[in-house]
Amino acid sequence: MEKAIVEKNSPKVEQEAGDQEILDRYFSGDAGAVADLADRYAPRLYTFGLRMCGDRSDAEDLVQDTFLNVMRYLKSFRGETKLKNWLYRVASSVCIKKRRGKNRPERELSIEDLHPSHDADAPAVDIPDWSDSPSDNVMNDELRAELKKAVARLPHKYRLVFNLRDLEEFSTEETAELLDITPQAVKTRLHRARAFLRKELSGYYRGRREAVEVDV
Amino acid sequence: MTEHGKDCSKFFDRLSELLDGELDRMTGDELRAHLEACPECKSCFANFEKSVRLFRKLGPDPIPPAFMDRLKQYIRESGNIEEV
Repeated sequence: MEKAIVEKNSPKVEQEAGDQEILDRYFSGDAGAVADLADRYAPRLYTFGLRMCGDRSDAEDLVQDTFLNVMRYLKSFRGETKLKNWLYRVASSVCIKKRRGKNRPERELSIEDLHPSHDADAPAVDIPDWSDSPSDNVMNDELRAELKKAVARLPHKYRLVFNLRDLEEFSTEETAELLDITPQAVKTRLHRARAFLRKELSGYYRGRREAVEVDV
Repeated sequence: MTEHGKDCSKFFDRLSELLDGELDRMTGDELRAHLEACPECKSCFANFEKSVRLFRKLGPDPIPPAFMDRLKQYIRESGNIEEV
């Protein structure tokens, strides 16, 4: 774990104002600083944990283990990366460690299997458009549950990259740094994850359309 | 996109980079030209983009308040132990 948390010898980066304030308090000995850090980041890390583990209890364990490591290693934080990125690096390491503990082989996604040509036997289906307009933000519970299930079906290493890139909105370079992999590996895993999810989503909408046709 | 040529496969393999604006100019132009010429890839791109947008809208799940209280209590107690 320690290896994953130690920063490289790089210049300091500018922290978000709220993070800098917490860091200043922490390094001046304020015992409440880490609890305030939890107020700021635990809710986001909980969602990250839930998407990664698919289970509330495991998500809570992930958040707790992350903060256990924060308490252990924050004193060696030198500000060479953003605090948010450092926290997600810790959380990702916890997640990878938990996954290794399960000792299950990692499934690979083959891009050939995800090409749309493999849908050729199935009738084409249009995924409904979701604009960026806030009024369109209302997603029904059934669809939300389907999307979560689809994410949970992604093999772990693809799910991790997908979560960091598309849900947590880290850049390719930031994700590569968080996971200690190359930017090209991030791009490859993200594309396969998205192609897998597109296929799952098409299958969901196809099923719904067929159900409606049967009803009619 | 059922009669996949090499261009269609190449296009699909780099769809995410095109969407994320991560391609160099020449490759980007090449793929956009293919997109204009191939209605199946155009439709595939539109569906791919809509799928990515939809998943991005998943949004957060609320953290259980009881867990949040326990976590902060744990942090406070652990902090005190370390100080001692």
